[in-house]
Amino acid sequence: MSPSTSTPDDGVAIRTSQLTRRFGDETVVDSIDLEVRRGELFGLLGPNGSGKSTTLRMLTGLIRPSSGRVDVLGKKPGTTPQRVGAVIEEPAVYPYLSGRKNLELLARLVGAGPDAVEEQLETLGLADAADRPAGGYSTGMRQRLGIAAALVHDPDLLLLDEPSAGLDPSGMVEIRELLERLAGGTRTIVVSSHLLTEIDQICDRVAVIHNGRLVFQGELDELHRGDSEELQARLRPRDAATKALDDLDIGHRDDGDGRLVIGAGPDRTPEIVRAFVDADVDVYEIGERRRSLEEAYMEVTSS
Amino acid sequence: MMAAIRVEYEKLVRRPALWWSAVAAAAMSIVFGYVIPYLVGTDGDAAPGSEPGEPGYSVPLETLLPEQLVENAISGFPLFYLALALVLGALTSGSEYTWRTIRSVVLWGPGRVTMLAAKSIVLVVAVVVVAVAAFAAGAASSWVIAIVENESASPPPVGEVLRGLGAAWLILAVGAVLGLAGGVLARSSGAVIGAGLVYLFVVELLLRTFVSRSEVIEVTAKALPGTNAGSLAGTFAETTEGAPGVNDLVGTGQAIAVLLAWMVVGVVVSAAVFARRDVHA
Repeated sequence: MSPSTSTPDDGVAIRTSQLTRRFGDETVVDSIDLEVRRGELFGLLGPNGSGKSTTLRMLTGLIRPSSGRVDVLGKKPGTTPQRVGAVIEEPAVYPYLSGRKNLELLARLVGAGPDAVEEQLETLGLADAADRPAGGYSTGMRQRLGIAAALVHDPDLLLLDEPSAGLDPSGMVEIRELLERLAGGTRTIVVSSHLLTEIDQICDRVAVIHNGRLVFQGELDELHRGDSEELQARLRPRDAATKALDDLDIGHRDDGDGRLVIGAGPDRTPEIVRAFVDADVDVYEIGERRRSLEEAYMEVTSS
Repeated sequence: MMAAIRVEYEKLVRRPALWWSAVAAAAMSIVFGYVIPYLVGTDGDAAPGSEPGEPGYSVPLETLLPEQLVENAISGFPLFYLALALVLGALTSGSEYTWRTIRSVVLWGPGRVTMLAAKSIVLVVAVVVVAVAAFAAGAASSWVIAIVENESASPPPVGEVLRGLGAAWLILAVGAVLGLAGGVLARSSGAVIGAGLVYLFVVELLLRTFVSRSEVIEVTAKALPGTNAGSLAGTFAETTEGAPGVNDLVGTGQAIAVLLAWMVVGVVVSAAVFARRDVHA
């Protein structure tokens, strides 16, 4: 199989097929089939060393796949710098140049004008520090400069590797709000992170990479729901409720947060509610159980 | 390509290393080309038949006057300034890996080969600054000596100065391109600078001392950049004695051809490697 060729654009921003990267005997990315649709905010989840950054590097053309196929905006990776913006791992800067000059040089390479530079400096809150040498920037400022560089040419596809790394909590909120503003329309954003809450708050769809393999890809909601059908309820008194469930031969357990997890799908909700009412159980809340992303993540990565 | 050249130009001209190289070249030209020889003593104090480094050795005063600017100034290029250019070249490419900006070059640039070609072109042109700094400092020093010694301050012919500057530029350009290629191959500047200096100051010089004893060594030495740089500088000197690196092993035409060939090899090898290799920085 040829490592990477181009295909016509079909509404899919990124498509990989059996994407594999080996370093010596070690397979760092193993046969990943990824599909990112145009206009979505896509999360790439996985622990450090899972293969997320290597995957992003292959998507940007920094490294080549050992085998498999990659299409980015219908082209070979790295061939359309005007349409792709990226921050891969920690942003790199020319330390002897000012933040503004760093941005101007990259903007010039992709045909963006001085107005775009000023706009990004303003948007990312770097205007006041723009004329200082970038070598003296804090990690957070460098991160913001990297994102500004990735955005300076208004790309169709934005690839961000750990965009909140090195940022303080308010900086993380700012980046999250920025990404939410940037998303939508035709722009596609792929965010790689090991911070589950970050992905949970901003992404539409996610892929989970573990030990180089894709272990989940789909809607974030789907990941929260999982395969098992369960309900969760807040009710009182607990003893009467568990007895009613025992009578229906339905399993149950505490979720550790004051709710009862009921081992039945949503289709049995009316039957269960009737049983609770008959047993004088007050039902405050009942619905399909939504796992926390942390639980879901642990489940898909351990299976 | 023009955008890439403009970007590489701005990166290099704003980089202190380029201007420090020019300052270092000017300082070496003044100190080693004029101040030390002048302090060692001129004709009046000479001990007959003494060699450089021996007590009583003296520098002929006319070699320190403006008329012999080219011969004097270019004598430092085959070794010291070549090394300086190699360091500048290695820093230019190696720092992109150290700072990890090589990622930006690849991600934002119009293509790896285009970016490397732009960097090479800008570097090769920029080393003119170093050559001019060395010659200008030499000219000023020789003029001061002429005034102090009440000797002729008439300058050398313009054509000779231009030929000398051309030769000096070619030597620096080769050093810079080889340093740049080394930086790309090693993905750092430190290792290349260390290895490059050892090569220039030890390996090539040692090899040349054995040229007369072995045909293989002679043929090898005549193909090396340092030897050819020394021979090119040697075409301006009446004698090659006393100036480190200057020699008369090959003719001017061959020296120019071999130096140009080394420059092409440096660009082609670094472009080929850079185009194919993964960027892990």
